[in-house]
Amino acid sequence: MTATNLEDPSLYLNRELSWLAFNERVVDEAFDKDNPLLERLKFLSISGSNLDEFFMIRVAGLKEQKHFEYTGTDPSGSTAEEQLAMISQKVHEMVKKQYLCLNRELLPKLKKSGIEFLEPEDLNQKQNKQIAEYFFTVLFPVLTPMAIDQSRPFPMLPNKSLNQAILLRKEESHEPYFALVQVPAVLPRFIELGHRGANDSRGETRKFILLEKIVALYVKHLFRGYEVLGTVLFRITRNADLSIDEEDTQDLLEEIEKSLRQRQRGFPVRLEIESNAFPEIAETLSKMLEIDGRDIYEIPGPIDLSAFMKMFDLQGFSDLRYAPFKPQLLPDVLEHDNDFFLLLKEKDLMVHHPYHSFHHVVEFLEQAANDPKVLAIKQTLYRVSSKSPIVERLIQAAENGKHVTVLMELKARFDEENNIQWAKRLENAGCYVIYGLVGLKTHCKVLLVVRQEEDGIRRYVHLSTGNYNENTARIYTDLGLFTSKEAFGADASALFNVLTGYSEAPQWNVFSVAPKGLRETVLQLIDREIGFARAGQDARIIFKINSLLDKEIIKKLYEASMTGVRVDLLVRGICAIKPGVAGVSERIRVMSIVGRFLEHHRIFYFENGGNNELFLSSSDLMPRNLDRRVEVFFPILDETLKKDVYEVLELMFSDTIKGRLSRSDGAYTRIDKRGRIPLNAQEELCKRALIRSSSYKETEKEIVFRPKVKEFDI
Amino acid sequence: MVEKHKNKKEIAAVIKISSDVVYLCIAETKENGIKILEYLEHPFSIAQDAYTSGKIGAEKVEKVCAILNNYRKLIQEYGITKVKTYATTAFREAANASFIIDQIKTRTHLDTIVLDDCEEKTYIYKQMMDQMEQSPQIINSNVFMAYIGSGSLGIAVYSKGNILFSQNIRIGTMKLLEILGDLKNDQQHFYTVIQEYLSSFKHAIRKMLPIDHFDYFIACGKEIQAVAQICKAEENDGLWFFSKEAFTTLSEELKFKSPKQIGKLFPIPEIRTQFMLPFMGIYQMLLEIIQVESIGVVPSGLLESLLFEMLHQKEALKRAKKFDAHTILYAKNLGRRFFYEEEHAIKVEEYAVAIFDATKKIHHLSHRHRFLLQIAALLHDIGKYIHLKYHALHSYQIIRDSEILGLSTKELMIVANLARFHTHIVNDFYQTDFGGLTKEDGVILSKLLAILRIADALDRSHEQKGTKIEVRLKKDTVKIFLHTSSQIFLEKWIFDKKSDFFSEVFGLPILLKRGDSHES
Repeated sequence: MTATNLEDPSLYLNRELSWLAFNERVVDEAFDKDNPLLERLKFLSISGSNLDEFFMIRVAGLKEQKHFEYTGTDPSGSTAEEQLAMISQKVHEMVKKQYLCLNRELLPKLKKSGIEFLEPEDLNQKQNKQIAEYFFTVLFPVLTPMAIDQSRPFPMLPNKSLNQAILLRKEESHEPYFALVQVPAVLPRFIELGHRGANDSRGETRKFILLEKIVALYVKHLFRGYEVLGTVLFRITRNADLSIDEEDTQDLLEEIEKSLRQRQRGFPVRLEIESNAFPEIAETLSKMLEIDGRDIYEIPGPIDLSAFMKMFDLQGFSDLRYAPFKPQLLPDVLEHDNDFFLLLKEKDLMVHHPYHSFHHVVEFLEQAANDPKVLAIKQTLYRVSSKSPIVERLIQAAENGKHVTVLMELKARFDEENNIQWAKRLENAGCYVIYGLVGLKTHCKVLLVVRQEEDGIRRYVHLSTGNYNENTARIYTDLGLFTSKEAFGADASALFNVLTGYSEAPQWNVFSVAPKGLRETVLQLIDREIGFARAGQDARIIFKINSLLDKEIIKKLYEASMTGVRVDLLVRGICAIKPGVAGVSERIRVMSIVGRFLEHHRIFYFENGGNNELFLSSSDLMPRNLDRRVEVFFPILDETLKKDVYEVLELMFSDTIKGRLSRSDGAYTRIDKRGRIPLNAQEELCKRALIRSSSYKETEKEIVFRPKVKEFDI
Repeated sequence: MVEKHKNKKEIAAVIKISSDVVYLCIAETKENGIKILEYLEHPFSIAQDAYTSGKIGAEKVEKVCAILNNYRKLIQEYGITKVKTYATTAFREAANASFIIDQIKTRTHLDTIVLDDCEEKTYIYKQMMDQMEQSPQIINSNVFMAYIGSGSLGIAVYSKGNILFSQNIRIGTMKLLEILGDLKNDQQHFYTVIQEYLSSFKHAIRKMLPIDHFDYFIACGKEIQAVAQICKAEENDGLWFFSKEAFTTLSEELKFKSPKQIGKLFPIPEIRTQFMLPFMGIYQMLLEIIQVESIGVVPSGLLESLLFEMLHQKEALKRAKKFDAHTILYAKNLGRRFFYEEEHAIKVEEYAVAIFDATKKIHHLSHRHRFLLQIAALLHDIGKYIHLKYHALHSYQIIRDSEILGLSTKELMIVANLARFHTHIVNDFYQTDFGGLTKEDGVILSKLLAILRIADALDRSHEQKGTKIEVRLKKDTVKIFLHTSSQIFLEKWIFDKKSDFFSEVFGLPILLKRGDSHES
């Protein structure tokens, strides 16, 4: 066993390729005929926005490495340059697949179902008249043509903006000119034809034309005296990773606002350009943007698939979507008349989103905000929605005289702007708002309520694997634990004392907290299983996480497998471990589920010689979580809840429909269904939630709600 | 609004500014004990300032006030009114401590009390004994008690309910680090140097101890708690026990490690990791003296002790009384070491207390002062061990340079000065510097001294002639009736000589009568 060198790069999968494999699984869902049509379109659109973020962060990072001539390799042994080459090849294939899906599958089917996208040449007279009118009244005033030549700098095009490049010729001259016009981001991408009111749509086909097509069609009106030789649609993606020098920063709030403005202007990392473009235009763009061939993607269809998310919101067409699922209310809470303090004195409570309603969390906070005995409320906020009921309750609590402390993570990627707004409002209401520790993102999700009761101070804690965001709680699967157990309360208090900078990290009772101690705890727990395996006992580990990338932990898992520990991993996204390698990881199984809901919980199970232990965490097993974030890892002590969570794990591993198994090479295959009952774990969990609450009639009022999905929150 | 409850449990907060960390501990009453609600530690290094330049730098004030104001925010969350702030070693050493305290007061509204070494140890021993006495085995055993502070090592010998001996030795962790200076950078040899340096103390400590056989070695402090946890200590009657072997193995494992590496192993504030090797070295040295198989740890300390006193005032008084008995016993043991005349000492104590109790109306002194008088009565002649001539001065010196368990430095000075002037009142008495006592303390000293001198005179013959005394406080006189069947010519003669000072201090003449019958 010692003969195996676990440092061998061939034992690790490259993270970027593994991520791309994940995105491919998302694209696969768009191909899946068993999914409703608009859901398929949504998967495709998500795969598009995922790729955008991938370029803005990951590819940009690799390009930076290359730029600074960093020659190191990743654990799988590839340099930045090698990785960029592999990514480019893979993404080119992926783009082909995405548009094959769109053009061959989804658009024809949508047309049949009554949603049609027209080309300018398909328009009838009436429709032509409509777009002409649209152009001259709406579009024209907001279009700004820009001439391009060697004598002036190329205009700073915003990140992810759509632009038309236009080749012009002055009448009677031979010299071509080059100009740009941005397709306005403020206007809808899809312009509906012949259709105004939203309610008279029954039975009729709805027809749309893309905004850029209108621009192209009438672009000549912007360049009087010129002949338009051709137009080419393109989009650039820029480096958008915020890097802030916190050490020298007096006010983080100000600094992030500043850096957000800069995000528009990061260096370009990708050029998407419509297929069969004028070679002359394509060449000029490539030269001007300093983008080489590898980073140019020819798009055989509408550029920017994420825009199709809008179509998903189209009124009607409910047969083209999943039947709505109402997150269920828990009978336990209802039986206690929403008195969480009473309930939690009796026992712990677990909420499983989105099967159970996030409303419980809001209600708990509501009760705390208005309870006369509550002294203080403390909460971490990472991503909050734009109309956050959570924040509203915190403001209310502050107004009621409670001491409210909020740790607002301003650095939550892509949510910075939103978070800044909230931070300001909370401060104005009298909350004590803090922005976390220098150099560390606060990613843990903790809510603490301190209450003065007759028999002393009692602390109520809610800990979750997911954010305090009622929108994502309907799409992301997460587990939240409510408890009044003293050890949790003491640790939560201490954690806030660390986050406020009041105190050094103490000795924790039940928590393990990154960056100091979480990895160690996980390694120790794996070691303990190894011990059991060595002693000839059954040993088993189950992790359900979003990403597995940490080399130290992977090595330890290999060691576990080699010693005889059974290791079952359910990893939605990036997974750098190679299962089934002879002599190294034969006992490791890696499965992934991409489904209707975004698998997001982090669950850790250890057999522990029969005294099994279960933990939840806000953390994935990636170096960034373990080293550069404040994350919490905590046990579930209540036996009933432990059993519940274990059942969830079992169920997920029995998924034959959405589950995929990873091969040693990092490719994923469908589950062999032979001899197995077809099972979709997410659907099954919906059913179970309905059964559980069926004893209670009151279920949450359905709210039709279409969130902006952020698949990248991993 | 936050509702106020009548039977609301009490909550108190204690802040401690030690040499390298500022602590905040918030606790509420829980049955007969306390329950810790919050425990915070923030690194704050002033020791370097205090030890090397003897002053705390001005820039440190700003920093400590920022920490304290944060702590106040948390204290306010609980609506706590009982808040006490203590400072230890570094403030004791710093010459400008009183200015710093004043600046802290201005910026944070917190009054800082500087605990001296003895007071600190008293609180710790109280806490340790409370815990030890929960165990019926320990209460009947011989226990070696130890506590390592940053400035000094406190050791004590507990035997069957009593503290026989205690001493503070100036080899605290920080002190040691300071002494060894640059050697700490030599990772390979540092621990060996520590051990060699400390071994010179072994002999001295062994000689001091009143008994040589110990059943238990019991320690207290955050570091030893951390060690206990790493050594997988087991709980028994509220104490944590782990084997000496585990301790030795751990110190072997640590000895070549850097503070940073140690920090990874120990759940202690980063700033304190540099003290771990000196710390392990001191305990290793003690364990070589004290032959026991296991180490017991009291999992609480100074902060808990202080909070207990704030939250259980009645209990604390009882505890203090109990501890006073240890102090009395301790004083007697000290007397015995110097072959004092115990019968005389006890007689003088008896008379002094009787006079004190009868004259409360004219002296207005506290119970604690009465206690100091008792100790002084017991030890006033201790200097005779050296020479009869100038014995009062010898007594003063012995007391001043001893540590009497349970007495603060100031109290010790009062006791020492009482012994110093019990025979003669020098002409310039009122101008005397009483070893750093304030004018107010000087007045207290004078009152106690007036009583002590009378009490001593009443047994001038050292023959314990009197069976008891009766003290009558009249409007214009204090009359003492010495009940005895013997003649008291000598006592009367001395009494008349010493009564002047009493009259001077209290403005009343004091008269002595033989009181074998009830004449008035």
